[in-house]
Amino acid sequence: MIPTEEIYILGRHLSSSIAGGLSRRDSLGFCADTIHSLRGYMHCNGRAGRAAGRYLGIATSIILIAVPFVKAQGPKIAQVKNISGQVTIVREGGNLPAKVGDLLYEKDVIQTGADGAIGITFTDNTVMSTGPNSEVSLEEYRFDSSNFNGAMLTNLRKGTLAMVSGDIARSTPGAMKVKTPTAILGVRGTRFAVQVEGER
Amino acid sequence: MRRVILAFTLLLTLSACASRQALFTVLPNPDGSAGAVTVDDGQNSLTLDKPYAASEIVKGSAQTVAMDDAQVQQIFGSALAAQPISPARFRLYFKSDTDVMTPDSEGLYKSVFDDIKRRPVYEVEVVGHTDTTGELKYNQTLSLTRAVFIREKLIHDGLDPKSISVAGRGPLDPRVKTADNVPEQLNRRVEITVR
Repeated sequence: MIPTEEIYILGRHLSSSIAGGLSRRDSLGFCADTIHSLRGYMHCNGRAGRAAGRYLGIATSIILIAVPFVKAQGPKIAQVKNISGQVTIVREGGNLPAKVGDLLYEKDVIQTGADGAIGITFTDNTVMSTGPNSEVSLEEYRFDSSNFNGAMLTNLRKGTLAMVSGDIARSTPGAMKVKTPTAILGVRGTRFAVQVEGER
Repeated sequence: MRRVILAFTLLLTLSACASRQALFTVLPNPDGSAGAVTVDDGQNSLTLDKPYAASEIVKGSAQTVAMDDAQVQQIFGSALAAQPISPARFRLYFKSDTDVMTPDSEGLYKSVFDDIKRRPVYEVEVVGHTDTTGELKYNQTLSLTRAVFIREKLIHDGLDPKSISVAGRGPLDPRVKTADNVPEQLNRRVEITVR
């Protein structure tokens, strides 16, 4: 009834458009059209009266102003889909126990205990999973879903990793890499696994 | 005699330590095909492009090594068991100038819903499109309307609103390139990505 859901979606869409590398003017221009269209849609449907349309206009203007001040860590890059045992996310110096549904961000470090394992999917549809006694850093990730451009560097410091590459690898040769202490893997696609021996 | 055996055992243990620093292996896709990876140890680059093509790093240097499914399960079994359900993509088509699905797409809708519902946690992106008939601004609205329609239907049928995002690209991202003002059913669609 109240268009808060649409605002939320639009807000998310705005932040991912801007974070995806579109120029601010482009993304705002597109979104201004979208908002205009959305207001038009709401209005034409008769579900929202003029008052709601005005509310939507004010609320979305607030979002347009607020978006440049989103958290420094940037947009979400992945979501946790599976967890077993002990898994920790290290972010900005703090440790959080990982849970299914958690969002992940560039620079996050995933650590699994002796019984830990985790499966995640990235916004470019890359699938990654990690076994026990592992440490993986999501060192670099950017992806623009409108043109599939992006880059991804995952750093396996120790343990095991299995991946199925997604749109970044498919669209741009050389854009997806996995780093280890002794070698770098360039990924053309599609399914592969990496093991790194830890310190003894 | 005992001193010799002890020295021999120690030697074996020492040589076992000078062992694998890293292992890279290509895995087969469900249909048996495989992609390719390159392993760069700083001096040389090795290409692995068949199922179970593998390379290990010993003393900083990459060399090929034999690999099979049994070894893969032994080394990577836990990681593979934690692998999420693969992402999926769907298309649903619409009648001209409407947010009403074609009969075929009405039928397909249920399998889209079921694919999403089976995932313990999901992210769904619905992107609407139009063909090139009509004006740009009108089509931008129409494409978003199509995406919103699908989103609302998915929510009505039980999915989580916070997990479904929408966008509209108007006529700007066609599946089939056409000239301006050309009706094309294949472009009147939403693209749904599920992961």
